[in-house]
Amino acid sequence: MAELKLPKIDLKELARQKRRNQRERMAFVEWYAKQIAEGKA
Amino acid sequence: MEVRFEGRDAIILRPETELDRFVKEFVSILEESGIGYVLVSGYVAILFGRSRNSEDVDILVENVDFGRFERFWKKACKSMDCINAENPKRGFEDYLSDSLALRFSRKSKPIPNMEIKFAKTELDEWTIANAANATLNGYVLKVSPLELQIPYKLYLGSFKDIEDARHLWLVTKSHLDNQMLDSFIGQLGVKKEAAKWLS
Repeated sequence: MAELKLPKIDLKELARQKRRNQRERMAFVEWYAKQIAEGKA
Repeated sequence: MEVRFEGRDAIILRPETELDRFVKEFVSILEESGIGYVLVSGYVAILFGRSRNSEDVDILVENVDFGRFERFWKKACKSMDCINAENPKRGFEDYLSDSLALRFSRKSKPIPNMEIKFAKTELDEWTIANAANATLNGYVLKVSPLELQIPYKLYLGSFKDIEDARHLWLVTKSHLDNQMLDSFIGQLGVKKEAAKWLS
């Protein structure tokens, strides 16, 4: 079977990305909710 | 709906949604700008027929220099808005270069939006270099290898993510590289979840 050349996953970095993505998404949710509240969306 | 495979490439035939048309328009601008990309996360499941919508579409793009990014920005902003940066310099320096996402949507319509990030890690770069083709009604889209995407969804772990993983696995399981799938399941530490949901 051919040898797989897969990347090594840095779990600490992945966990950091996951937390950052969650913060970014919440910021977008809040921004969009304010747009609606202000009649801009 | 029909999904079949030719080697690693998926051929998908189904009615298109407004989200599909938006994705196709956006990636065509990336391609015209010579910027490599790969679609990741929720839209991959939607592309393969998962019955849900999405507010945002995650896309990793090649880590390009400012000149190439600015050319892309000018093309994109003919029909779209960047929601969170006012000009290409701010978008490049304050967001993409700092591993933050930039969001593009159709003008005056923030949802849905394309959430783009530069490939920064070894895993990101591998994902772009090893993207699979998923052809939707004749249009080729680059998607994350499913053998990574499915365990990654299990790793994220919300109900929606687990449903996406199970959907993708059920639709594509007979065409997956199981050695690669098992390797990513192990690396991501989701053996227990895989035993529960990928069976």
